Amino acid sequence: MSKRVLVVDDSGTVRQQVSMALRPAGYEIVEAVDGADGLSKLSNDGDISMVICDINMPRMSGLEMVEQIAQNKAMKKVPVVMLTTEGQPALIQRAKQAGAKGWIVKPFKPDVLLAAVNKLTA
Amino acid sequence: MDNPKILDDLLVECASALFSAYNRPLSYAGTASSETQSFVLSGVIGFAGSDMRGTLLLAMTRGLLEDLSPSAASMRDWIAELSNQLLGRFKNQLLRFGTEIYAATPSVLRGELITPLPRACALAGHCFESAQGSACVWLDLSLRDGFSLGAPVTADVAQAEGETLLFD
Repeated sequence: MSKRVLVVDDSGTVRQQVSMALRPAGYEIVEAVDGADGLSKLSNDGDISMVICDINMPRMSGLEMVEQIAQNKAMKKVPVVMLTTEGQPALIQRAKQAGAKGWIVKPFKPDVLLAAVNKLTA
Repeated sequence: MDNPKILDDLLVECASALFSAYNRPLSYAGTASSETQSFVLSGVIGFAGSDMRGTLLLAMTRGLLEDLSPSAASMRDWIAELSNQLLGRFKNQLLRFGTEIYAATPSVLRGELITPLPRACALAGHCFESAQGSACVWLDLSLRDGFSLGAPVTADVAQAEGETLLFD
């Protein structure tokens, strides 16, 4: 059965780019448009293997989403990687402390993203 | 080197790097003139920090925008994302100079013959071109009185674009 990856980004283009990078390798993509939508989908779908999440989004940011995931016993075992234009060390540290497993600065290289997803879902 | 020259060089460097990241290296075509170009969409994104605030505008012709698009994306969404990624690069480069800015959400304008009317201290627009079309980027900004960019540090202070950092 294919592994399901939740992609949380307010840009439909970025969600599509991630999907194009991962689908050929057999991953199934679930999309969410902001942190609140992502949290809802992660909560209602017990079969998500990994989350790829933007930072700056309306309603709920990616960092807020990661912090909420970390407080939920059922969800916190799902690895989260941030995919963002931000590169500030302070933000990266905050994400790491909140429980994120990785950080990628856009634009991403498809093979590099796939390698990270393969490693974190193995 | 003075502030405008440094910021000008950073903007050109960031735009060139962004286009190259999508495997579409564009030729630098000089500063934007009042000559009209048939842009179709423009991404506009504001930013602010304790040292500077302003707006970045990225305008593209349809041919180039479609050529840069990695998929059958919404052109509105794509120009917004490109302007966001361009400002992200600029922001990460500014960290080397010890200054930090925060970006707002991009807006998108549709129309041709776009020519910003920036404030007096704004930088000139810069244009890039390929066989598929052209792009111009403008930076309209104001600096805090007395602010001067510090000497850049040579070490990386922000994670580089495209690189993956796994924490465990």
